[in-house]
Amino acid sequence: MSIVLLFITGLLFFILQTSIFQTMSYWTAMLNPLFILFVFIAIRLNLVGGALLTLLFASLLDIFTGLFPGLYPVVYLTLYFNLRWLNKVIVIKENPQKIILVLISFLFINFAGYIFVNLLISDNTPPWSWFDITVQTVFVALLTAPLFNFFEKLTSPSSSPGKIHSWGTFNKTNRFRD
Amino acid sequence: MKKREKKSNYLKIFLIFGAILAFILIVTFIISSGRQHKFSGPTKFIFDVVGHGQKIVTTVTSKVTGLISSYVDLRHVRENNRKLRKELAKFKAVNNEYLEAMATNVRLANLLELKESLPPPTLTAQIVGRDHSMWFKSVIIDRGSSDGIQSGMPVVTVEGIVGQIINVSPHFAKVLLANDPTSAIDVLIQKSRTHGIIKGKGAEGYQLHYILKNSDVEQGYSIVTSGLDGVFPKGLPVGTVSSVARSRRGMFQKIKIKPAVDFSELEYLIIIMRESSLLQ
Repeated sequence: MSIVLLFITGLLFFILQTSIFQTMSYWTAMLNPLFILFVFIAIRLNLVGGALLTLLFASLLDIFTGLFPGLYPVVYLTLYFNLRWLNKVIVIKENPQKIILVLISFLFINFAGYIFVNLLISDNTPPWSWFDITVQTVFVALLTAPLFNFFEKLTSPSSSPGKIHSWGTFNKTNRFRD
Repeated sequence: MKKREKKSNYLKIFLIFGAILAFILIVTFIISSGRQHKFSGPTKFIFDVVGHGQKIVTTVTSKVTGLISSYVDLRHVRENNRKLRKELAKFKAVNNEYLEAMATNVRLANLLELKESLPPPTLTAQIVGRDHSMWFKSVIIDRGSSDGIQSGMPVVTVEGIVGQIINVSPHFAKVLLANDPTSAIDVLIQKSRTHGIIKGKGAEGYQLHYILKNSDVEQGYSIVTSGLDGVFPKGLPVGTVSSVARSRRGMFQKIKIKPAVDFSELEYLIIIMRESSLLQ
């Protein structure tokens, strides 16, 4: 059930950030709530469910905004497995940790995408805008804590943060709190 | 208990290897496929479903913003009305002169037995979705193969070229903008008639390639389509030269082009159709 809820939320985020956000103003065009959902999925969902959802959203990005089929799934699945590994090594519990994790992931995604596109279009280097990257990163940082709380509430039936085990079933306790 | 642990370990190893294998397969697929121009059945379905969602959100937003701007406009309507009536009287006189000139032109053309060349058929479309990534520049429009849209059709506005259709589903299509790094269009410097190729540079506009150092190019020169790429008709405005740099090394000049179209302000687009697509 929680996977379905996260999928619907992600789909809504995707529609909003590719339509209304892009037409309203410069700063709304920089909002990227779907990316925060990607990170949430990686550190909270189980291996198979999370990978499936990541693949679904990355494929959606691929169909709508990608020009090289498979580029988004590769980049986002790489991020997914790296985040899962990081989540095992470091205990991610507090908001500042989540924000730093999201920011590192965001920069990783942009660098990885840039390098891939550079390799694929070798004769014309795509532009890299530090200003846009910085603005987007700031917005991602601002949205991380409220969106993480929202996702936790959305996926936790008892309104308390919980780890989702398999295909929408929950652990009543948080492993970080034990 | 031990058996269960063993089983879960096997499952983990299986999953990890599966993920690595899938990753390698996807990378191979990207490298081998390059840029794909045809959507598969499921892709078309997803494109259509999400496209409808984008269309609903865009329509509602444009209706609301339209309502607000209509109210603001209403407050200035009396003053505008007075100005417009004055202008109308002036343009009526100009129009009479124009009609007279047209009639003379038609008469003379008939005398010379010139065949009238019909412009290609066009179709307007609304942008329902935009690419939010920093790497690619594309938009989604609310016209698809059911309207006769095909891959490779040029997309323009009254100001100039916008891009070309790259993927089509029954009700929606993806347009590769001319400022995307993967876009390349054959162009002509209007004044000197020198050929070159413009490539997208994202927010920086375009870069004009393969213009020799001895070619006459200056800031402010207009760039138009050459028609040689087989996509865009000849003579469509592309942009103006914003900077020219001649380095010591190399044969070519480094020329930056300011697009004729403001890509951030795009809302409605014109698709130049092919006669064959209309017959289908």
